[in-house]
Amino acid sequence: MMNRSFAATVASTLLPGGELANGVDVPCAGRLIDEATMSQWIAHDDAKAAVEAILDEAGGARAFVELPAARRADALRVAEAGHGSAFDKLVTELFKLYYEHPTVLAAFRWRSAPPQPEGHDLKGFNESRFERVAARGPIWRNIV
Amino acid sequence: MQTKKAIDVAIIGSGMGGAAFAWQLLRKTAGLKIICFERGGWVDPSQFPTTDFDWQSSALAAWSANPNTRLASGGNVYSADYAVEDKGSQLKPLMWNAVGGSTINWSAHFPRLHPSDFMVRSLDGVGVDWPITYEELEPWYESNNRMMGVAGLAGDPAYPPGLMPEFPPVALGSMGVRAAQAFEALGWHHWPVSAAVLTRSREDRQACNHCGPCSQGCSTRAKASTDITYWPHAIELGVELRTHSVVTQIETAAGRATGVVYRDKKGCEYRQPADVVVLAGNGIGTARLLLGSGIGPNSNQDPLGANLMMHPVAYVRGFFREALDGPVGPVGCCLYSHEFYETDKARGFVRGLQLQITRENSLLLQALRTVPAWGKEAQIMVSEEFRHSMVVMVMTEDLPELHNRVSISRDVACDGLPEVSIDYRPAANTDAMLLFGMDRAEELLRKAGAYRIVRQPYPPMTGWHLLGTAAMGTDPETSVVDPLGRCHRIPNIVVCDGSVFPTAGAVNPASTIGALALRFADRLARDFQ
Ligand SMILES: Cc1cc2nc3c(=O)[nH]c(=O)nc-3n(C[C@H](O)[C@H](O)[C@H](O)COP(=O)(O)OP(=O)(O)OC[C@H]3O[C@@H](n4cnc5c(N)ncnc54)[C@H](O)[C@@H]3O)c2cc1C
Ligand code: SF4
Repeated sequence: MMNRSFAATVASTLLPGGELANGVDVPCAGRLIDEATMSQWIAHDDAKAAVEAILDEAGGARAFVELPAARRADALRVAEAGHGSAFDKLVTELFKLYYEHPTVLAAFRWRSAPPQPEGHDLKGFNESRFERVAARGPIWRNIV
Repeated sequence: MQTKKAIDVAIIGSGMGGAAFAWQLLRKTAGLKIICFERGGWVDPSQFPTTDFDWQSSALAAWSANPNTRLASGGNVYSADYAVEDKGSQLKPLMWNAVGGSTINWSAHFPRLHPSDFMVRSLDGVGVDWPITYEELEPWYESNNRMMGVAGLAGDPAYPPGLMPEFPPVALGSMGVRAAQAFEALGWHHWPVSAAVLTRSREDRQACNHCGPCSQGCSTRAKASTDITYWPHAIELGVELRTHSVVTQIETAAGRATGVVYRDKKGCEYRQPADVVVLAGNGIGTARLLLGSGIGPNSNQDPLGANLMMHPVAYVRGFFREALDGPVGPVGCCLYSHEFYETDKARGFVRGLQLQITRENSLLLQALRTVPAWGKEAQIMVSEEFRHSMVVMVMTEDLPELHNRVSISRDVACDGLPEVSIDYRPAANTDAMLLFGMDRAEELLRKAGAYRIVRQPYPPMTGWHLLGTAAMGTDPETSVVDPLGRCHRIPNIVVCDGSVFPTAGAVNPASTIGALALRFADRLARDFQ
């Protein structure tokens, strides 16, 4: 049987979080995403074959949750090898939930609010920097 | 089927070509009765997803640039899409089907072709020459610029003198400045792009606030799209824009078009007689309608539907220890280099390419680049890449080949037109150009300080430019329309969109599409006078 803890454990195996590069520190996916969303994710039709393969490999949902971390990753690798496109779907759908989450955006030092209406500041430049390029003279092919 | 009162001109499609044509024709010949039939409706800028929290994932569903993805996700009420079978194509077709056409979700990079692009056969022995020259098109480029509103910097040595953008260039940001420094160190041409983006407000359009995802619609109206540039003026002059109206057939008799059949929102069909029928449905939509109306093909060498050009590209991405502002700013509008645009046979290919520094992905899209990787390693990769990357897009010349084409099937799609498919694979010359371009991009990124580089040749979701399927020329055997856009077979059918390109050049096409449409409309106006 699939439950929150199975879905959360799969999610956290795929996206374990922690300290990354460039000072980014993110939570694991299983702790971040709410229960209802997580249940929908793990039951996604197009990912079904991969989820079943994980359950088969681990010997059920509870067994999967109780496996040591390295063995959980192995079970996912088996599912990935046998059901590539369903597994990719599982990963892609999780990425959408995770990398659009305000907490994750903030951890990556990006604003969690949408792009509009605020927009972003962008540094201008000194146009004289292009005078040297212009000074080279025409580079287009004069055909007359 | 009810027959409507006859009109002078029926235009099909309200995007770049159709909008410019409609405005120019009525401006020059007051009193004409012109109706533009557009399969979609008006978009509402307040509904663009850029004000929503799920704006990133919407780019993978209802606000994707690809009509098949939009349909698969349940459709988008703001784009009246049709499916395009693309299994035979290395690139996926991208477009928007509403008032404004693909200028709704385009990136607004607005370069012109080079003079040499019009003479590739004479100069380099490949493709075909255009039946017009750069000089002949130049005044129309100017008019189109004024209508759209263009930002940029005068004095680009890659073009003949005279380009005077109305607005100052789009800011480069830290990523652009870093790229400029690298170009400078290599001694390569580089210039701020011409962008159909306002950098200062004008009338009811605000200045760009650098929000980023232009391909999901611009809610500030800083980005030019023909629904906000040409259409208000064309409608004021008296053009009728009939929305939610799919033209399913061009009717002909005795070698002349007699009008069109269209379907309204409720599915009711009408016959609309017209003296002239003008097509502007883009490189796929126009060919589909012409083929579906029995105007070709006459043989397997027939140019109608053939010679599809899609401008293959590669992305070369460099990663930096320092933070950069890559995801900020209008997506297509930073810097370009035309250092390698013109032919140099020593490179092992003819014609050339542009290097374009575009803006970077959102966090989600950057992360999805790493799929199928997962686990901590994948997450570390994302953190190394996001806000620490610079992307160089290599865009090559594309030349016509008969096997790259739009075809229709006998089956009818739910919009009443035949089902449509595309076949496209790049030529060996293109492979060589792309490889050369990727090497140069890598050289540039190394000079800029990148410590790791990833190449992505022919990414599928880059079929932005749909060109060449009703090519312009003087020979009816090898071209579909004459130098004024009139069909060789049926002269009162005019084509005024990207389909008429005989070759593609290595720059984005919309400024040339608009210029051609203005020119064709001007000539048609003389016939009416
Ligand atoms: C994501 C994206 C980014 C792009 N970025 C750039 C860029 O930076 N610079 C650039 O120069 N170009 C860019 N382009 C390409 C540019 O937008 C197109 O080349 C240009 O809009 C094509 O003009 P058109 O008139 O040929 O067709 P479109 O603008 O596509 O208009 C065709 C119209 O015809 C309508 N239509 C089709 N068939 C029918 C029918 N049977 N009945 C009624 N209506 C019909 C459609 O609904 C549509 O509105 C981009 C395109 C996309 C999709
Ligand atoms: S970046 Fe500028 S042009 Fe692009 S959508 Fe945002 S405001 Fe519009």
